[in-house]
Amino acid sequence: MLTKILGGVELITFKLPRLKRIQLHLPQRHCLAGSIFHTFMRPHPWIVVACVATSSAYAASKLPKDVAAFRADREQCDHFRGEEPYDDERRRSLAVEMQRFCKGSDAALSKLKKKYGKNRGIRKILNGYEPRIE
Amino acid sequence: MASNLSGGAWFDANQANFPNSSRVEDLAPPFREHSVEFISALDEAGATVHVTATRRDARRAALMQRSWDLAHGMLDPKHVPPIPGVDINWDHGSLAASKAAAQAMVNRFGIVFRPSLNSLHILGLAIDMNVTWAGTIQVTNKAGHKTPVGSPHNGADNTTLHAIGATYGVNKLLSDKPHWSSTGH
Repeated sequence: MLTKILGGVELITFKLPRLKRIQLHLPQRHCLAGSIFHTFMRPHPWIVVACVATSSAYAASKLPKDVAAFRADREQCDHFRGEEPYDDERRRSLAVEMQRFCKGSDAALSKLKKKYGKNRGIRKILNGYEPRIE
Repeated sequence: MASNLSGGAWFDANQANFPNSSRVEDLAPPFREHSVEFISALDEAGATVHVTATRRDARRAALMQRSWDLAHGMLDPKHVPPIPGVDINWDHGSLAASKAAAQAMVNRFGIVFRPSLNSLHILGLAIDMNVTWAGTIQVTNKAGHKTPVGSPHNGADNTTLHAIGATYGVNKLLSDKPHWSSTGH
């Protein structure tokens, strides 16, 4: 078994008889099974299930900084794209906000998709955004 | 007989048939009732409330998005998904003419990025309103308690007022000055 700590994420690699080599990202605070695993050093299939379940929730709250920053801007962008310019003041205000939050979004999304193309969780998040808004 | 071909002329002749609303009555229940109660509390406290937008017409929003998509080559003019209740023909016989007509509508609508159809305004769950007052007013929350609300004297920035709005289920989106909604988004 190999255990590494990477930015608060515990990366555990171990072998199971049936499942062969398994690698999990275990959030230390959220994965009780990870602690059990450490204590007894005997992996059990249920530990794997529990850790996968908790690591999914963890993935949403601990995204890489660039993905989190993109999401924050894009959510603002998507909000303002759904607003109607009902008068001149609102039109000006929306234009300013969309320039701020939407400009460059297509390229940023494409870049992140390439960077995290092999990360299924992040890829799923990024695929949820419209690829062309500019 | 008026042409149903898309373009600036179609926009000028038809866009008024798909108006957005600024009437609180057009919001979806129970957010409508929540908004009425909150605005009544503001009125009683002496605040000035100017509602600028409530429900956004879904057909108008779809027209905006179709125009954008055609103008940017994201849709084939011969296969544009129809919008129920809207008589418009996007196909001008050539791709260039169809795109030019769509671009004319984009310009008329004043669109600068691809319109989103996920707005809470379309569902009747968001309201844009400017709230102002002078001095310190006493605003009643949903539970009936009066809270003093002073500076800043506007609904965009006053967090005390945001908290009172939340008791009614009318939640402030901080990043958009006039925008309140059922969820805060």
